[in-house]
Amino acid sequence: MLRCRRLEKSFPLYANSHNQRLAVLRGVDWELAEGTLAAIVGPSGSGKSTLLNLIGLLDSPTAGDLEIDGTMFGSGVAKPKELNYYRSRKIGFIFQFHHLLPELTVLQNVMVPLMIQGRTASAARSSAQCCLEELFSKDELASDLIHRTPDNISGGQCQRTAIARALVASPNLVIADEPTGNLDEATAEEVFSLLLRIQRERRATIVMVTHNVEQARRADVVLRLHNGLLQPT
Amino acid sequence: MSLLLFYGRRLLSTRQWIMLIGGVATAIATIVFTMASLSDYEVALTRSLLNSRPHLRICCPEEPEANIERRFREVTLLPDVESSCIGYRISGAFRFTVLDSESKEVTFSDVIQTEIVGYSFRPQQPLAIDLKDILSEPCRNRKGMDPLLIMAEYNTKDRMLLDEQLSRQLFGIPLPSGDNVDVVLTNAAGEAVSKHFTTAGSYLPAVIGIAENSDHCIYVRKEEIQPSDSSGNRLGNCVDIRLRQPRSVQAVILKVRSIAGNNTRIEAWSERDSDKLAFISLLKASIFIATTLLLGMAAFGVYFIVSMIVEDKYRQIATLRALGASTLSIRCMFLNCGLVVATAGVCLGMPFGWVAAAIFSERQTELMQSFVSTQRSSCHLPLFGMLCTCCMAYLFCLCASWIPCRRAFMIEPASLMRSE
Repeated sequence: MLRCRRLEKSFPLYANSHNQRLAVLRGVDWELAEGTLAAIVGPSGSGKSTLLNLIGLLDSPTAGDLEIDGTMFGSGVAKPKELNYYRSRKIGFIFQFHHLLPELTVLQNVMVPLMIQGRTASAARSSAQCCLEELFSKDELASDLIHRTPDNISGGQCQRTAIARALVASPNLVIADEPTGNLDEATAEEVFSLLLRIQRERRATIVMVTHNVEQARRADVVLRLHNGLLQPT
Repeated sequence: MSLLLFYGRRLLSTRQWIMLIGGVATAIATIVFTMASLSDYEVALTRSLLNSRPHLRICCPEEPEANIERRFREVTLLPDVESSCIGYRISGAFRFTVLDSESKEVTFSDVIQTEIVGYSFRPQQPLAIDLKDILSEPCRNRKGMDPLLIMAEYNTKDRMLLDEQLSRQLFGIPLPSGDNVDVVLTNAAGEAVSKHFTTAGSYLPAVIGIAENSDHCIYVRKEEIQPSDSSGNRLGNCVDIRLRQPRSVQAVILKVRSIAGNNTRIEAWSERDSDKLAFISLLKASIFIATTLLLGMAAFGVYFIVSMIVEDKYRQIATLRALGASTLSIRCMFLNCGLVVATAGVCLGMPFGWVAAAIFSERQTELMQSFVSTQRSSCHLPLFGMLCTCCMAYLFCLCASWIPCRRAFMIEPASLMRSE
């Protein structure tokens, strides 16, 4: 499903400095099977988010190869149009801060990835409603929650909406960057359990970055990013 | 495209949409209003020049006055010629008594009798004033007085303002603007007071009549008009010609030259009035440029607000990019703002400006008709000017949204995770 080979990423140390670079990832070699929940742990600044950016095709590696679902994405290999296509159809994102669009309702936010794919509003609406029914309780749905804007719902509900947005297009790979990092303990547990349930039910492949050791233990694979290299724990 | 419609229209708040569309619509309405009013003015001026003055004047100073009619007879029979007349010097052409108007503030309140001696033109028939025609005119002035003659002092220069229709009845054609007329006013003691007036023709009276304080006008009762005595009239040595197609005056000049010979002096309306028409064109161009600055300011508003939106919605744009939105769709979302603003501005501004110009034209005509008899003018739509305004509105708004939109599509999706 996911294969990284000698994946490297470095950034210029200073602005306009091309010679002096800070190597964040120093040759990550990793393979992940389909339907697996992988947790990546590591101290802050170790390069977890950078790795997720590369896996999520948000950034391109300095060197090395990345293969997602049989398609190769190396440094400068893929065109922006191809990356957009993959991001919209093959990859789902769950951010630490949900990053829902504040102008849209819960339902409309979940519709966005489908609209980006070019689906009609009615088709996107029915898919989004199905997805939300899976993630929200009947009581919540009865309270007209899906027609409220993110400002008018709780943090846990926002994060569940973000999960719905990530899953609505049935992506092959879901990238979650500290999905519960912004929530209190009880809500974090609730959201993580939901993510786990969805992963089991849908046999989804999820790469999750977390600082929560308890959550990491419940993942199928746990990896530690240290000195720019990925090591199994 | 669906994203563009789905999220693009939510980029701006209702207040921002109203502000931007209102600004552009106001600028467009101002341009349309001024251009329509100026076009109206240009059309009215041209019509006035063509109606009140001869289209072609042929003079032969060396020729004895008595021979003029015979000499130019062939010219007057040309198929292009609608009518012709020979310059006629009117002496004591008509006479009437001016009563004191009911207002005490009139300038010539003590005048009881007026005699006009001046130049005018006779359309190939004896000069005569049919009082019945004059009296059949509906009375539309205040205080039961008819505006047979309205005299006014304007910027220390005396002018006589004559109703166009009445002037036609009195003199055959409307008095040309700028001609000199001597008016002898006789006061109650029987003393003659001579005043020198410049006729304002059929167009300028309206303008002056509006600007002029009506307290300085003298109104003449129709009942006081006396029969005219045209025994002192005599011919001039010019022939004035009105053409069927005034715009084709140059072609007629060539024919006239071949008939009348080179020792005649020919004056065409287009040459005589070219400075006036050129001035109006220059005025239109200047005002168009000046009002275009308003559109520029409205477009700056679009630039400012769209720039602000790009700054404010940095995260949202990055989120959309992370979810797979292409740079093209992001670009289109912002360009769409400019496009919607320009379209709504054009759709609102054009009719609003045109309606305002039509109302203004209507009110102006009504106001003028209380002073002098004028033709009802319709609002003239400057189609080319409107097309230019539309194009400029779209160009300005699209440019104004294009500059900030360049910043929007350069936002990297990876910045979303880096900022966390």
